[in-house]
Amino acid sequence: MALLKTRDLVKNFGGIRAVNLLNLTMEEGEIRSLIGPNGAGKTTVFNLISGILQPNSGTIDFQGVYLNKLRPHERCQLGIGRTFQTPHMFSRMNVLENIMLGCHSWTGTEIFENVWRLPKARREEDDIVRTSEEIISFLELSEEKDNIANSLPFGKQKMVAIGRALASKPKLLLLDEPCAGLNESETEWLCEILLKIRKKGINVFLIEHDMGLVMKVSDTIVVVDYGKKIAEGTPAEIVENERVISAYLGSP
Amino acid sequence: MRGIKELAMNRNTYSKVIDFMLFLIIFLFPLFDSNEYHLDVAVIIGIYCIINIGLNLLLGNTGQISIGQAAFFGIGAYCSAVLTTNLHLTFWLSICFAAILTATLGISVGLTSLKLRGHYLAMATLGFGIIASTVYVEWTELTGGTSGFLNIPAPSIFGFQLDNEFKYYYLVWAFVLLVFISTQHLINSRIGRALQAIHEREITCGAMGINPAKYKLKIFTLSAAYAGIAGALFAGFQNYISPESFSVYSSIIFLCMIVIGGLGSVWGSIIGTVILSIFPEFIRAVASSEFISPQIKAILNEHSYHLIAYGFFVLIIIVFLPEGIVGGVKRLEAKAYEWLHSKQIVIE
Amino acid sequence: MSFSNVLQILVGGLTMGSVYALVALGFHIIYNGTRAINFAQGEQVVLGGVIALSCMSTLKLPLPLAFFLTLIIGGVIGYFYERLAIRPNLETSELSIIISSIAVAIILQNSIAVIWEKDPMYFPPFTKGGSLEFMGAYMLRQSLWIMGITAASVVALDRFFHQTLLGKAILASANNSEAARLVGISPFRMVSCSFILSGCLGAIAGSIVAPLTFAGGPLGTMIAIKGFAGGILGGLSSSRGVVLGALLLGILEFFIATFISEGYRDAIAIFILLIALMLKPEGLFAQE
Repeated sequence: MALLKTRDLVKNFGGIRAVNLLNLTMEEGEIRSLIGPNGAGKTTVFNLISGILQPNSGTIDFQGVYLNKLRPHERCQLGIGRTFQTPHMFSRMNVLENIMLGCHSWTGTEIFENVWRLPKARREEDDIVRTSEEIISFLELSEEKDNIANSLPFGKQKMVAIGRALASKPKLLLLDEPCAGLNESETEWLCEILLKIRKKGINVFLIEHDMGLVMKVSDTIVVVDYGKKIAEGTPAEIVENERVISAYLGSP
Repeated sequence: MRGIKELAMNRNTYSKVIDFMLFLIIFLFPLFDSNEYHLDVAVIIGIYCIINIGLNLLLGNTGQISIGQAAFFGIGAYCSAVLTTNLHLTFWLSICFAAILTATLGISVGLTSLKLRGHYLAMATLGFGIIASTVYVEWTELTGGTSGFLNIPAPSIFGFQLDNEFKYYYLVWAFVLLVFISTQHLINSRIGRALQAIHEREITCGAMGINPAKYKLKIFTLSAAYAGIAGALFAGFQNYISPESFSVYSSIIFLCMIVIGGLGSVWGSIIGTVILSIFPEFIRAVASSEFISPQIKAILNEHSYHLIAYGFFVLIIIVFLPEGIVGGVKRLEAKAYEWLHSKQIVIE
Repeated sequence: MSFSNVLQILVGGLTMGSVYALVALGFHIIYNGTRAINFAQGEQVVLGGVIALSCMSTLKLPLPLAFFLTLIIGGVIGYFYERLAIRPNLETSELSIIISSIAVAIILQNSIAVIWEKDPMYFPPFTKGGSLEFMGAYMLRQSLWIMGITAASVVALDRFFHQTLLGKAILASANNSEAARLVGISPFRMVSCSFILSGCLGAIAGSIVAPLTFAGGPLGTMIAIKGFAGGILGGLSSSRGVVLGALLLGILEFFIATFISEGYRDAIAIFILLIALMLKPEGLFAQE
């Protein structure tokens, strides 16, 4: 069974067709990249998968579950975590709290249990803290743990955003331009992190403009232009593909 | 240096100690000041605190404005009054019914918050307040209209008559303590963090697995129930209620109280309520003190000078402390930490 | 329901609706500049009434002169209101602006009660004479004044915003204060202008409605709420929307008072407004 499958996905914004009959199939255990020129509709694809936008037509399946009717938080609870192009930090929370927020999707105590701090709520809070601390040490953010997330440098904020998505214990992690705004050493480190994340059995789907990183980590690459898939394959195949070259450089 | 770190790590414990001390003062207060009028004011303050803690949870933590909180307060009060006076139910039961009724209405007002935000939500809640206050006046068979609902029996608990301010003070403030602790727990739980997230970025919440609609609705319901309980306590205390106490004006004053106390902070709600409730009493006390000549006293008593002073007082606080009193104290605290920190480093 | 009935409702509704429209325009102007609700708007209306009354009875000025003096005083009060109460909070949050405006409303309301009277005072109509009859409906002469002056104000305001440099600057700054700053428009000054304008509008509304409702008294809150409700009904971000919304609310109110219930008039009007809001949250007449 495919992990993620979209069939004939269409999204229009007014007269503009941002996603045009897109078919994607993603298998378990890979890092896949979605690339394409600016304005090709990449982020729109992510917004459709995570449920922020509704498609005009077409279907999305995740592990055999029909996603179209589900709201964003329900998709997250099924195991789709995501980051955004900007870090979207919660400015009044510190790093730990931001990551703890990600744990919301797999915890379930309600107002009643939490108001009286019943044993169930305490146990859950301990779980949340433990998971978050693990993620913090995994991403080497321990020193910033108590700092307000907004006061961190941009690169660190993007790490926190990845940590927050990881905290939701996703099966599929959607990363929207994780490298944008990072310096070279941070990018290299991110590379390692992505490979480690895959080892944990989490599938990564990423939008990225940094071709160095894309070529290095991706198992497969999908290229879109004007909302249409123009190529799909391993990094080696994509480099050779003429349609991709012309989409990026313009036809000769 | 280590001292500072320990201090920071134990901040949680320290704030608990401070909470305990402040509540100890509150609970010892009647033993030192048995002036009936003072206790009377203190009971009303406690009742307002319950409403405002709920309102602050809604506005300060979840970011949903309500200018109709006094409507829930009034509905709770009339519900309890009718049940205890006309149907001779016990006081406890009437509190429960008041909470259930207001919570149900809270759900329906909360439903509007799923569709409306910002000023539109403000208008919707304000509208609810206006409708409720019209009903208090017009439904005379039930509420007594403008002349008020009379002869509400003094409540008793397990045969113990709560017939004076002193006893009632402890009942009300016990409720405040309960609401305080439970709200404090809620704010520091996964739900509290989710509320904060809804307040800041509703769209991002979905990606975290948070359902904003569910929580907005629940908090609307909870804050309405708090106001309903406060209303029942108010009716039991007053033995007479009239629509004036639950007007739109009261809703606006509740809003002022929490903004001045500090949004998103439970102590903020309590401090704001205490300060804005005591201020008019303070002015009244000044006006009737012996230092002021009888002529001026007459003028002060005749006109609404104390309300003008009240307006200026609110204005001055909001201009100088836009984040409220608790926000100001926090900023001061942070500065003090910084200062201590720098001193320590110098010593090293 | 006969034709004269309908006409009667329209006349009454449009009269009060015009007053609400002026208040709603005040809300609209300030909302555009600051994104906040000005809770003192209603008290500014009441203030307009009592100032006009004093100009006529104490200073013995003729009506037109009193009217213009009131307009100017309203603007001046708007200016000081903004400088003292709004400016310090302009960059903190909308909520603190709202609380400031509540504080100012409390101050104004009680100052009026202290300086003038606690109870409403008689205000003579602009022109003497009985009501006019037209196809079976009766209309107070003052109603004509109210509708006429409101219409003139709306037109003048529209001209001001679209044909004068200052008006365009205010709109530009409200639209995008950062960009406006780059071309040399001070956003602070524009907010200040907004408050002066809404002060003037309040003064106009107060002096024209006073012959109907009397001057002073506890009228402010309700007028402000109705103006706000009308504005929201039409869509607070569009000037045409707020005027239409306010007129509609006025007519709705008279309709309910005539055919359903006088006591529940406000409650039912507001209830209908809430339903309208739920169906079209951005306002009935808002344009994109």
